[in-house]
Amino acid sequence: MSSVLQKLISPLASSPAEPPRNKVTVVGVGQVGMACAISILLRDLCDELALVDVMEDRLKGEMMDLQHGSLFLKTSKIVADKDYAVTANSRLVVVTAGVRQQEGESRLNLVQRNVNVFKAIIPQIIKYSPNCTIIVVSNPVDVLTYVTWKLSGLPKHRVIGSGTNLDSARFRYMMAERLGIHASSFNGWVLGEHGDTSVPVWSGANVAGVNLQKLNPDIGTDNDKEQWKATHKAVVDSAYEVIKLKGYTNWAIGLSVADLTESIVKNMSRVHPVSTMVKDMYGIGEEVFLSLPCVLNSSGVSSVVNMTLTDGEVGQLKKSADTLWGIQKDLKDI
Amino acid sequence: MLITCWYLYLAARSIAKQSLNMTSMLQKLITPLFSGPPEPPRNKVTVVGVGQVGMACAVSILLRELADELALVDVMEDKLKGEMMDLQHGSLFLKTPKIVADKDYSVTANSRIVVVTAGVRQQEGESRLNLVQRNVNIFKHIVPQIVRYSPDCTIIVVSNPVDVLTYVTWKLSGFPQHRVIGSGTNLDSARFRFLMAEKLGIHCSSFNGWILGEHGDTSVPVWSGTNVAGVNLQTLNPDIGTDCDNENWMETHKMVVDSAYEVIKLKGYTNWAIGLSVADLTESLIRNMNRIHPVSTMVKGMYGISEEVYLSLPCVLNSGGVASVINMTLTDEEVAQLQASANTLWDIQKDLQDV
Repeated sequence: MSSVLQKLISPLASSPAEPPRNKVTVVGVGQVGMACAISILLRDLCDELALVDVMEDRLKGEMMDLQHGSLFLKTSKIVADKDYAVTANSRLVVVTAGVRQQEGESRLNLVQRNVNVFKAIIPQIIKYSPNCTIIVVSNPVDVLTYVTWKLSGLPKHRVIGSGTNLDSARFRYMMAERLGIHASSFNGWVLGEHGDTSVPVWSGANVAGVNLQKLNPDIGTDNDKEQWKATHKAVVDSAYEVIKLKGYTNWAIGLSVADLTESIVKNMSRVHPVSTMVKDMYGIGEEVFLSLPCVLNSSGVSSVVNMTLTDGEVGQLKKSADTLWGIQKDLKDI
Repeated sequence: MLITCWYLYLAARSIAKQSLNMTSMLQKLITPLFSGPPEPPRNKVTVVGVGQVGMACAVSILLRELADELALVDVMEDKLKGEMMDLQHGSLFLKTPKIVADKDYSVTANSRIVVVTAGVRQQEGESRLNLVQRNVNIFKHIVPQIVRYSPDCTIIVVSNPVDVLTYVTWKLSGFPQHRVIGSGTNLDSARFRFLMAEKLGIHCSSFNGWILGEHGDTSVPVWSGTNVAGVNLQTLNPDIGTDCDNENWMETHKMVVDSAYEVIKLKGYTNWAIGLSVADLTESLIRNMNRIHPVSTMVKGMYGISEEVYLSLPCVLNSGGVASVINMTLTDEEVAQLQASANTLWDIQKDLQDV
């Protein structure tokens, strides 16, 4: 009475299945979490994907829908459970859980709501993947990356906030559009807080090494006849605008998280503007996370690029740090 | 004195130049070589409908780098604009330099492929056939507009009930039948291969099996063709797919039929798998690959079917659309199931108004 399986296939190796080498977990299967998941899957970055959420039906449905696409993917194991045991041995954990900005709500208003959610999540992640790197996406990302760092006990190079990776991508897209070139050919960095007080480093903006500030010394100031500063303002406003139009943003953030994931999983040492612990840099005296250009590889943040910033730009970073510390110092139970 | 005058003159000229210098940064940075009109797109894809399915198709197509231009169309203007902006903001990570959107179909001009996901979706427990008249009325607005702006395109219909709506699209478009395709059982076959392969402990791309006919409750699993590495499963287990089978393999096909309902019950809709499967079809069409996919095509004259219905058969897809259809060796029972699907579909189609 041998089964079809027994007749068809003769096992050679009866050892237990190999553990995954490039497992990625996405915590939270809302629009952002699923955009991260599909971008990571379509870029063939992991050999196993785990999804976690508290909403069990939705979680199972998302897992099944992705599994049904297996024929078109190279990630052979997709699992999901509300129990974090399913996330064991992850290299990378992407945290998108939490509540999202309502229309008109600033990111900083979400904070205490999300801290409480994180107190349940982070210890579970660490329990099952003590050596992972965590990418925090939930907003306000800089504060929540700090919270994650504190709750996890991980060294600071293993906790990254998605930070201004997305702001910089939007900046590069919008500037490039005005210049008629592709976003990848426009070099420009937006640093600091992922939010209303992000800092566009105009002094570094360049195309093919040609420094834009040299061509237009007023660039980014109020005196600028061409009003290039409006482009940075459009970056700050863009999340609010997309939320107003479609209710949330997900594709751009999902693609940007897959970009960070690629650098980490493939040990690439590419430089990305992500949120990292900046105490003792630029005269910042508190333990805050802000976005700076970080070299990312399989250890996480292996190093930080030292920027040549103007006094004005340093002042802006310090001000962001103060705003963030103002919120962090009042958080309970971290 | 003369030298002083000379220097004063140079200084004055420099000041005049600076204050009159109105060249923009763009002009200083970039010198155009070629001032002709921009090249038209060669691999433009349009997605009609920016609901969950349409956007899953869009992001899968973008991440597979299949199009040099992507156009989105919908009637909900805010949502459409928001989706377009969200994709554009990801441009740094993509290879599709032009992403446009409008409720006016002129934005879709010169598309090679148009993916139609517009329409209303199945409610929990609702069968695909119940949606039909609601969606026909929507298609009467959409299809002529598509054809007007992209008279040479190939249309992939995804909206349900897909076989009926592919027929409707064919009629409304006036296109030759090889350029109107229904996503059909491409997804059912992908689900079948996933579920069967899981039971055998292999990857789904290594399990060969085809589900044909109606994309829906009466799809036909061709058990006689199922194989792994050429080893025919029916030869190993002649009862496979029947009620007598003590391994109950037919349960797997039942799970395929139920899976859409199940995912809808759990998360409200399905989108990822269908999006990935549409990108797979798009790839064969755009890259002129001649790969074979189970998609919905006009089957009148085949297997004793005498009506103009669309059902899924294995079709060779290339840049012309459906280049050819594979002639299956089906059992009498499988042929009868196809005929039964054809009759069910024709029953619905014959009562449709204004097609």
